[in-house]
Amino acid sequence: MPNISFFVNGRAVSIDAPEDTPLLWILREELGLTGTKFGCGMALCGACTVHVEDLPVRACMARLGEVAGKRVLTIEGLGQNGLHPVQEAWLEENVPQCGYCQSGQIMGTVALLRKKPKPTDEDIDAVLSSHLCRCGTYCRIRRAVHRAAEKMGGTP
Amino acid sequence: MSARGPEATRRDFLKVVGLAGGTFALGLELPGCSPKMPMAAGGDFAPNAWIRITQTNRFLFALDRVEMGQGTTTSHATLVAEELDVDPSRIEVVAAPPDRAYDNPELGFQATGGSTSLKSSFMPLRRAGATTREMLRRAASVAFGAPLAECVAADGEVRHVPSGRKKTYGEVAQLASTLPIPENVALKDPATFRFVGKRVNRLDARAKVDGSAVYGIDVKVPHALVAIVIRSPTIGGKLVSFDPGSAKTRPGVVDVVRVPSGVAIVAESYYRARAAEKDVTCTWDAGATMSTEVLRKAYAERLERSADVVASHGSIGSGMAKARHVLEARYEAPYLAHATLEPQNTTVHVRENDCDIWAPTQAPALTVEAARRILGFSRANIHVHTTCIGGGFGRRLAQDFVVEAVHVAVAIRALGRPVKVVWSREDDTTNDPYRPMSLHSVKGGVGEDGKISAWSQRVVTQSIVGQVGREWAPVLLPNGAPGIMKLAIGHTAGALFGTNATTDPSSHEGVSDMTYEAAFGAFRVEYAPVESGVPVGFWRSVGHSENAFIVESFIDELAHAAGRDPLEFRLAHLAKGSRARAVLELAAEKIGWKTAPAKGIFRGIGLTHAFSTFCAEIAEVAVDGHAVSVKRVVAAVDCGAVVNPDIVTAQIEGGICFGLGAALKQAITIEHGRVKETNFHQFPLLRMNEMPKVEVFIVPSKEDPTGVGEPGVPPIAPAVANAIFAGTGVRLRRVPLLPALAEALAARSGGAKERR
Repeated sequence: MPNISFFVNGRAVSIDAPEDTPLLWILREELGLTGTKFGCGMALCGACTVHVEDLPVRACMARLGEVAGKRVLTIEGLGQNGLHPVQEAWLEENVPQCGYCQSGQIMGTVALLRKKPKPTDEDIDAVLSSHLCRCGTYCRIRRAVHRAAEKMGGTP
Repeated sequence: MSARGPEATRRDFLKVVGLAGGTFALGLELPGCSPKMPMAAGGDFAPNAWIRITQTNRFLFALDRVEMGQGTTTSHATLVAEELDVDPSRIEVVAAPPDRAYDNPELGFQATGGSTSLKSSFMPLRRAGATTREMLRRAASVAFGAPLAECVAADGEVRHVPSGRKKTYGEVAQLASTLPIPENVALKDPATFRFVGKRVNRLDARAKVDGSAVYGIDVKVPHALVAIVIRSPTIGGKLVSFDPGSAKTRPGVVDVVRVPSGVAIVAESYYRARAAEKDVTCTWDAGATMSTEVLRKAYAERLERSADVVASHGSIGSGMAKARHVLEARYEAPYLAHATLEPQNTTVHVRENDCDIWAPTQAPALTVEAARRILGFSRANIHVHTTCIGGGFGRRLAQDFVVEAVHVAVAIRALGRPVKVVWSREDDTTNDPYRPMSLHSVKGGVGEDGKISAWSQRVVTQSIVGQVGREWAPVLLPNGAPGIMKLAIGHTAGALFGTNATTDPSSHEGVSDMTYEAAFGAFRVEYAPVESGVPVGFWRSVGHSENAFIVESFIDELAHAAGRDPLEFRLAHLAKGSRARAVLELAAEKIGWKTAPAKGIFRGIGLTHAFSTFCAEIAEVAVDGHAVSVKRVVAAVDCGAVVNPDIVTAQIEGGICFGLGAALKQAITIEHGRVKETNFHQFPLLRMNEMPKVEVFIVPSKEDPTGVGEPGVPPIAPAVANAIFAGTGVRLRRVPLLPALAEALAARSGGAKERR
């Protein structure tokens, strides 16, 4: 079986694993990128959200073969020159509690702001209602999304 | 061992933290929410089990109340920082290893739960910080050759005031380590607090937004294998036989082994192990056959039999006789799963005479004990490393996931490799120690004067303490145990010696000690414990989680029956000047109770006194036909002196979210011995679009601090149920509310049609 090559956080990688392996486990176990979390394995919780070619994807359902040749961005690659404004907003609002869902929430938010630089509460609900938080940080996530949008000046 | 201040605990931080455990010897990174722990160095200053100041001027703090999101990293470091007089952001927090120096005096062993973390640490950590600062000041006075009175310790350095000379804490650390530890060092006057009582940003947030925080599931131990376990599909079922099929021939699969809980597939990675699952054939015995519907009938029968009186005053008979309005009702609450977002996991490396365990555990002492019973090692040779915890909520007080991982490690011991056992979401949902199901009958009377003349309630549920007592007793006994934990021992002794178990206050908390009872003419609570075979455990706010729903709903029923305003009716049963009354009045004022809500919006109240904290929540619920949604919640909380108001607010917000998900939607159901719900499509958590606006108001207080991890949960279910009643006229006596409401409304419209 030939290796499957793609880009993670700007770095070219080549993986020897079955092509139907969930991307999540390739990231976590083969590449050591454990910031992307395992929550449900069925795309029900959003904890494993990464970007593939700038679009949000649930890494637990995406297959290794589907990302061949593509660009994958994980939480570790988000703020390569310091923190991303979304991460800064998260800190300013003291969002995380246990923190386990937050990588996915942040990756979901970055993707949302790319599409909707000035999201309304309804826009936020539409995207982030598929990201579960068991600790109940939703009020703060909402505030942090608005704050990040402001920081980014409404530009994607 | 009793008192736990630094005076009593002369355990050297270096001995306890720096050298305990194989991690440091192996040179591995400490996988906590913490920076890498530097190797123990001579000349560091470690006057107690919590604080270590290095000669390089680093301030290390061993956190012994695990961080699971509730904020101990920040609040506890703030207490130390305040008395040390350094900015909290300079404190480097590391997870404390198991050691009796870190026992939680509220629980009797090293564990985090019961909203006890601030209560149990507030004074000990302040004393530790103050004593450390005083010793640094004395050391600097020696170094300056100046009188102590001329030396001031502040902002991480000691200043000789007349000369303006300065030394950092690190510069005098070595000297300080040679000084005797002073007794009874004066603590700061709270009026001079710089950080306590203020918003200090979460110290663990950075690692949680950049993906670097290491949870149990993320632990990277060199050469570690990963295992999954196939468990019985029925509760308590046992493996008869298994056939590994072609699993072992798959690339990356190392072994398929039998363990007490089932069959472990051990592989080079999780995905390799999971891919082999379908190759393995397991034969199980019948296991349990219970189902929720049968259990509900058994509970109803149990309700009719004798029960233990656990609280009583006055004569119920004459109280009821005096009543103008008498109501009687039955209430029900289901089993619930904890559903921590990080599924259970543990990494174990067993060697000949010792082992390392990396676990997201709420109770390192129990983790050690669980391993000790299997391995027979001395406790000192069991090195437990507490990781970041992806949600606790009581789930990780249970050690089933540790026990299983140790068994897997033992089964593959010959390979000489560590192993991480990882649960799937389905494993997690179907193998939880559930919040117990309960059934209550309650009868109340209201007299002419609008006061409750009698309240009689019978609680049918499973005892949690009775179940965990056996597991906990060995770690409790040497240390003595306060409060509820004594009952765990009582239960265990009962089980061991064949006597009947005593009561379990966690089953009837919030009922037998309900906020209003002193104002009732007569009061009686009876407890009827049942056995079901379903494993149960402590679930965020424990008995209060369901009991508040029942008590606060029924008091609402009585208010409406007596034609009284639900707020006024409650206030009539709360002593003037009481803390319970104060939170209720504050919440009512902030929501504007006296002003009618907007059209289509209805309000309901919930008030609880749980874990020594008073919390009132008033919900505003929109009712539109059959659709209800919770729009806004105003909460008022009195948790004594506040260390970090932003964390208090966050915990109440989180408690409301946690409680609301359960109130509206969640139930675990069992059919033919199997748990029906497997993943989030069947056990739904509250979502962003369902989260109400939450406003939290904190009552200023100088009382000792109490916890806030749990008290936000209980009031929300009755607040919402009472608002639904206000909006629909339907009294819901069963949670989850949404299916109960749909059923009630369908029955009502069906009934209406029939009448037509």
